[in-house]
Amino acid sequence: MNMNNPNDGIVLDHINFSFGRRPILRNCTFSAPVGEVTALIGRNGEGKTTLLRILMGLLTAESGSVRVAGLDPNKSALEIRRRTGYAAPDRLEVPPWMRVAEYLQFLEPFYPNWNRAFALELLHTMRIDFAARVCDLSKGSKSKLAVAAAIAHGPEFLLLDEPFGGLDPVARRNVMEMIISQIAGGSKTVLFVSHSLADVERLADRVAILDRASITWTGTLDEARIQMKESNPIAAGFDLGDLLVTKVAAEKEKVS
Amino acid sequence: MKFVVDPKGSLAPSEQLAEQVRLAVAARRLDEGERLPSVRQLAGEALVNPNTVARCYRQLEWEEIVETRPGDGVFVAIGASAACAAWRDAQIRTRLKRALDDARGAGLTTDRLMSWIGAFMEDRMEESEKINI
Repeated sequence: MNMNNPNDGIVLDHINFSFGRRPILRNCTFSAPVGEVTALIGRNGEGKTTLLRILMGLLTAESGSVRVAGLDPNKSALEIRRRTGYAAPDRLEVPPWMRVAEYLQFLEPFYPNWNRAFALELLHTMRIDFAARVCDLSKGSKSKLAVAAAIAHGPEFLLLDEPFGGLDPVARRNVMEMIISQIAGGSKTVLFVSHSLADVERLADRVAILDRASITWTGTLDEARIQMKESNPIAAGFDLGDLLVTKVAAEKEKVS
Repeated sequence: MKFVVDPKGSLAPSEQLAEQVRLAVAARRLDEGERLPSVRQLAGEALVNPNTVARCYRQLEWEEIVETRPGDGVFVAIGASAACAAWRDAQIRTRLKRALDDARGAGLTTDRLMSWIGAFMEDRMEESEKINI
């Protein structure tokens, strides 16, 4: 495989990363193809956020190769960030004085394709008060703001870290509609991290399970359905959680 | 018409949508020649990935239930109503037969089954009368 093909979307090849002596990612290999929505799932503290931060060039992998649109985040972080919408509502760090309107003004110059009218429209639909201080927003409003800011420049790549965290059902629907409207063109590459499996089942084409620093399963949701059906033919429905549990358990047995 | 997807259902979401379209066409809630919602619209309404809707439309197109007119949209194909009605009947018959087989297997008599079916039908009639009032 040519590692530098700009049409490959996101490709990680044998990535290793640790904090001190603690391995966070071990030989992680997986890809998020263009035009598809890939969900990264797993237990808490399994390095999912770290993986997104590596893609953004915020952290550097110790070994292995990372490519976003054929670019290496270590060398072309700015170019990648310009073409990527990154939303991590839990890490929305802004100065305490900054208001929503000022936050948008602050972001605008970083993105050549920033669409001010679209950004205002999104926040209006989401009922976010432009005069409110960002730090005073509720958890749900922060999620809405972060996702709106991530899509306001029509990025080719969307990296979303827990976009549905702390959302009430109405807000969740709003955020989901925002994301869906973005995917509809078919040319975006979306990678999102979520603990909300019901949302993953709705949005994702493809799932990667991260457990004990390794990718233990990747495949499409259709493949997941077939696999679960084969292992439990009398199951009444489909639950991605069942797959997650088997992949986590299987890994545990291997370790012991 | 309203489309809903249950991601926990035993059918894949794209198949759930296809089923709803077929049933609507069979019941003439969607008429032949009528335009279906765009991929983006339907994805937003049912809250699913647009690729899921696209997959559903491709499947229905392959079954000749819908036709895509490039640059215009997706439409219910002429002649689709009869095909969908036949599909619906076959589905319901299969489900009925399965239920009856289960009942027989469990040792229930035909009389008992028929009395239940009669009772269900009466309940239904009362319900629809209430709605009509």
